[in-house]
Amino acid sequence: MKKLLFILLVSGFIFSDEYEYSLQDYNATSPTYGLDVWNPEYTDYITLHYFSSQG
Amino acid sequence: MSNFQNELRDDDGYENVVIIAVGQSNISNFNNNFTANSDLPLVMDQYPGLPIRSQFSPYGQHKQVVILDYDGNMIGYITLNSGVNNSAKNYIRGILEEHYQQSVPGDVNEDSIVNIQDVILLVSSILNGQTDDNGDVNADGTVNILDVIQIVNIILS
Repeated sequence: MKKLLFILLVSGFIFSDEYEYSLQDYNATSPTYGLDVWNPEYTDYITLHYFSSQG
Repeated sequence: MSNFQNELRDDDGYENVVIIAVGQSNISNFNNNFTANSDLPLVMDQYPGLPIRSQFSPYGQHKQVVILDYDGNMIGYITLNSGVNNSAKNYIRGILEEHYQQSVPGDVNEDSIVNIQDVILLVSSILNGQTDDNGDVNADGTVNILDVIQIVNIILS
C-alpha cells in the first residue's frame, strides 16, 4: 500500500504540467507595464504565452 | 497578436484571457521591438539560462503560442508560422470555448453557485479588509455593504 502511494505521489510530480512565472512587464504601452505578470496580475486568467526569439 | 486579443475580449467576450509576449535577450540589450505598437504584456526570458523556455520545454519555440488554464496547466499550443491566420484563431477559440469559465455575478467563492456562503465570505472579507474583484458585485469599483445587498437580491430573485 505504501509503495502504491509512493508511486502515485512520484508520478504526480513527474506528469504535473503546471507552469508559473512572475516577471516584470516591459511593454510601456501595456496596461500592466512595470507590474509582475503572469503572477500575480493574471492568475485568474487563461494565459496565452507567445514566444519569440526577439528581444 | 494584439488585435486578436482585442477580438477575443471585445467580440467574443473573453475578458479574462491575456496574451503575454515572451521575448528573449540580455537585459542590457532588451527593447520593446517584439511588442512595438501593441498593448500586450511583455516579459523577458533572460540569457543565458532562459528560465521560461527551460520551464516550458519542449514548448516555447519561436512563434509558438502555449495556452495555459487558470491553474497553469497546458491546454494547447500552436506554432504561428503563417501568422495569426483564421486557422490559428479558430484553434485558439476552440480551446477557449472548452476551458473558459464565465464569471457568475455574486459568486464570490467561485463555486459556480450564488448562495449564503458567498454572503458569508463577502461579509467576512469586508470586515477583514481583504476584498478582491469577485466581491465587487455591483461593479462600482469598491467592495462594501451594497455588494452584500446585491448578492442577497440575486439569491432572492
